[in-house]
Amino acid sequence: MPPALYDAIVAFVVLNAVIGMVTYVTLLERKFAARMQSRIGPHRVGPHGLLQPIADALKLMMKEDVIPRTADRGVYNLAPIVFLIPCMLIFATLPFAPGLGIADLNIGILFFLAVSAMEIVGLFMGGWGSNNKYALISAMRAVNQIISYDLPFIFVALVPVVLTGSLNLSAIAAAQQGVLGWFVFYPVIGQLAFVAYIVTTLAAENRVPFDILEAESELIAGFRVEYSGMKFALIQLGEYAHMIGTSFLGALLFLGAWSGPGPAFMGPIWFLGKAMAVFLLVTWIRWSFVRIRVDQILAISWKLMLPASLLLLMATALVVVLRGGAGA
Amino acid sequence: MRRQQRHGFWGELADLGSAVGRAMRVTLVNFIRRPITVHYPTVERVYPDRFRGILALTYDTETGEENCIGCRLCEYICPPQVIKVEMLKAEKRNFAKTFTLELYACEFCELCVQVCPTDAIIMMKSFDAATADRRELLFDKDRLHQVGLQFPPSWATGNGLRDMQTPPKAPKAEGEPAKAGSKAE
Repeated sequence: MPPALYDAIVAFVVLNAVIGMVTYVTLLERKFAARMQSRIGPHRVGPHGLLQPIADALKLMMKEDVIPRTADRGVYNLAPIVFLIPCMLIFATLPFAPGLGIADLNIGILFFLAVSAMEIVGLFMGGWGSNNKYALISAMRAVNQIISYDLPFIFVALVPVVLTGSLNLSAIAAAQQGVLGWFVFYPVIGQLAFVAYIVTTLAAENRVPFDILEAESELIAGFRVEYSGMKFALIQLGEYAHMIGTSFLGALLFLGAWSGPGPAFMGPIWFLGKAMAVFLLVTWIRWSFVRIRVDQILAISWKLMLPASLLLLMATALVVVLRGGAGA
Repeated sequence: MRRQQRHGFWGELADLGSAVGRAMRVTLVNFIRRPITVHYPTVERVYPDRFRGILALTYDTETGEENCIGCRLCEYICPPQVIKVEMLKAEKRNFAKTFTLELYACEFCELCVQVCPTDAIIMMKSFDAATADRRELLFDKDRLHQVGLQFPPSWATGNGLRDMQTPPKAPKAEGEPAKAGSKAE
């Protein structure tokens, strides 16, 4: 088999797996959220609501595609795709098991961080192209917030990199074998970095309590207020794909990726389970807190998270140097 | 329950940490608890005894005659004026010639039940009146009787309510004045 064909097949499989996972993660989140409010969530479509995501997808496909008369049509139509592509690209470098991934880049984590920061372009295009003041305010806030939180996010994600001494995601995962080798159990630094990772992830994904850009009581649905039908579905897909991607990255950086008991083929299952655990943690936080103000979000970013993550990174580097090199 | 706010960087950090812990504990406790949802169409909740549901007319259980005597008290008391009754004079007792009730405008205040001297109009333990056509909620006499047989009746009846508010006097004990008897109770 020519390598190009092999790559295409792997990419196709991963892309479809991600899309399938996204649809079912929405169900998982709805069920989880419902239980937190003493409800049961979707229950009617299929046994225990298992077909609900499919029904939702069908509904969105059949919806009328409304384009506002005053919208900037080119930008408006392009935005969902520009938004979706980076969100899907972040899965390109994720290794799901030793040697099982689309591209094993030696700067994998750099690629991940760079690409996941690109989604803001599509987001702002959507907010601008809709020609709606709420969408525009939301997009402005999103740019504001994501730029503020990308720095601490990158600094925190660099902590495992410094500990491992490699930017390659496979190498980072391989460096934390055995449960006590997980970076979340690295004394002090690991726990602080994990907490900081979760906080910055919440902000980078625009989840509650940092969801000012889609603050439902003031901005309706944020930058996607004018979107309907398939375009809305694409934006939703991109958002959840981004969220799952960062959950996978969190599981890889801090929870040891595929390390776990059982034979080798259990690796991807462990990885998936850990990623879902991170996702559920994020969801749990989402349903526990109230939204905080814009100025508070920015103050937390610039006055707290940025210096703290920088200090943490420097402390990590110091520890690594004192212990005589990375990976020791 | 409100605690003293701590000051300084570490104090605020401690406050933040404890607030996060408390908020996440609340949701976790709810997560572990059983959901309180009742699957309505398949599982019905137990109606309270004095549930105020849809209205119905009753038959006399012994003779099988209609209870309504067409006295129009319910028509007079009805605040939204949804009841219309015409009386049919007969030899022994009177009947309602027509009895219409516009359930779509009814406010379920139960006043018609409270004034009914013959316990003819009562409320049912059911709110199962959803329909796509408003005209189906214009109940005539036959429909009201039919509803009366269809669902379990609620506790409240005109006479029952009157007896509850002013209990019928117990028969006087012999040789004792009534006033003293009521005081002794």
